[in-house]
Amino acid sequence: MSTLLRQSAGRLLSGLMVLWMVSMLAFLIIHMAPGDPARMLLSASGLDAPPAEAVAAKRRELGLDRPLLSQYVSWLGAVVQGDFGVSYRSGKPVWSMYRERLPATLLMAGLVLTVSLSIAIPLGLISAIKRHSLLDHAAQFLAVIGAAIPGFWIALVLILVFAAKLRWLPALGSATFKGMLLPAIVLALPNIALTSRLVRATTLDVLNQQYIVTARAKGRSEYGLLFGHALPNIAASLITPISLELAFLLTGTVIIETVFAYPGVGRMAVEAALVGDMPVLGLSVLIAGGIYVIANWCADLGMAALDPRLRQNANN
Amino acid sequence: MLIAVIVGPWLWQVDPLAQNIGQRLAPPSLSHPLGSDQFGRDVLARMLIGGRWSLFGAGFVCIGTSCLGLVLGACCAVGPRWLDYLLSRITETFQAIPPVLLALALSAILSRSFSNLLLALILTNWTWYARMYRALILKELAMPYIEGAQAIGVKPLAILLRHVLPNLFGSMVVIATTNFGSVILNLSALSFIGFGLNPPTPEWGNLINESRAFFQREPRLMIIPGLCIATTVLWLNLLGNALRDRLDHYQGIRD
Repeated sequence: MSTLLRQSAGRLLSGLMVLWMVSMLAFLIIHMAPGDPARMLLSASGLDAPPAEAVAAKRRELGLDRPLLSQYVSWLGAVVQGDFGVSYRSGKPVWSMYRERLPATLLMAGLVLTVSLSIAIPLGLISAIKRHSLLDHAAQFLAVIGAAIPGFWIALVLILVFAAKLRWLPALGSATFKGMLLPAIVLALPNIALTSRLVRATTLDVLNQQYIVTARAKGRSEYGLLFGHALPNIAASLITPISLELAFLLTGTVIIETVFAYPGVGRMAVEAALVGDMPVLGLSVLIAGGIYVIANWCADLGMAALDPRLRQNANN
Repeated sequence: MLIAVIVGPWLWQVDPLAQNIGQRLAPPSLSHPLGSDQFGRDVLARMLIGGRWSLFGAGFVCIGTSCLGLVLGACCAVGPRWLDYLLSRITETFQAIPPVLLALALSAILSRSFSNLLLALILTNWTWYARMYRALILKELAMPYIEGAQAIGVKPLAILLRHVLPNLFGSMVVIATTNFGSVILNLSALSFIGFGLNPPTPEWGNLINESRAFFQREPRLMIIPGLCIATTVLWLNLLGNALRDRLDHYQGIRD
């Protein structure tokens, strides 16, 4: 057990180190931006042409006259306590801005993951069992094509067909079922293509293992083989890709959210980047890093829980 | 597609910026095989020039990331363990942040221009290369011939440059080709949401963006650049797969 503990501690430590580096990166992003934060904050609070003394006082208040390192330390201290600063544009705390947008993104990520897994896993399994069937080739074809088409373009084509021509669905996204349908389809398609191919490859791999041959020799039915022996192993190897996919959906749907004007955190980042609202971007980067690290930890834990061999190896 | 983009502008000598208001949104005809856009500009000429920006931009990013990834991967593979650990954590840090988000932040810092967009793409794209090259170099260094070279007293740097590098060349081509397509997709996506070339310069991504205002009346303006991107990326992905099957010492190492 001690090796497993040491391994987990090592993972935890590298994760923490990555988090720390992400925090430095976020800090640099906030501070390397062009423009004077003091001036921007004063204009955000309603002063059109703030007098020089006011700007200087604000700079002192924000600590901008101090050396970069001491600014970083006090910034990190505030971040650890949940204070992520205020937006240069609206003057509101960026954390509350983020929290307003978060439910829409969470909802979308949940929907996309549910839809894509419930299609991709059966599709991949069937493709593997009935290899070289029509369905297998069709899935292969779609996966190759799907990897080449830009998502934002599919989004526009879907808007053109279903919103502009047929008028079935709204062109603009919103956190309602109808408003989420089109963006969810666009986000789920590449997911389905990738995951179904992955499931297929893993299934073929698992079905070639010795223990499957043994179980078959002992007279286990093919369905028993698949669901009793193969599926747990397939699930174990899917944990990491799926948790990384979830991490991506929670942070990286920037482009698609922009196309549909969907009120999620990705579009907030684009809006912030366009107007140079760096604290918002800094928070997005920070949270993206945090989600990635946590997703990796969860994937490791899940792997250890599902695959006894990992625990076994650690014991020896 | 590559050939069309390189040779095309010479064969089809129509100014992609020349406006002709009388010909606004004209359907395809003999003088404009793909029709004209909202300012009466020739779509075919704009597609060809736009393809140059997209493909050369993405090519530049691939070469840049290859070099950066190779150097960092080599540092990880042959450097001391603390350097390997540090660089691996830095790689993970950059992997932890979605490329699009990082590119957004960088373009907000660096002001919006095409060269800064390329720089941002390089900075967000190198992690995958670095991990790949680290694994490849480690694998190569474990080969018996390296031990032989060390035994007869070849200096470590000479081993890297003269023995390892030439053997990596095939894999480098495969890696860059495989990645080329996704760089084109990322480049056009960022350019599409407005971080890239400014109009009127055409690029496949911003051509799609410009067509959004008219795409109900004239879907052609949006469909054509999208098809250009899709066919190019499809072709590159297939080429990458074919090359990988050919040069199979890349196989077995997957990130």
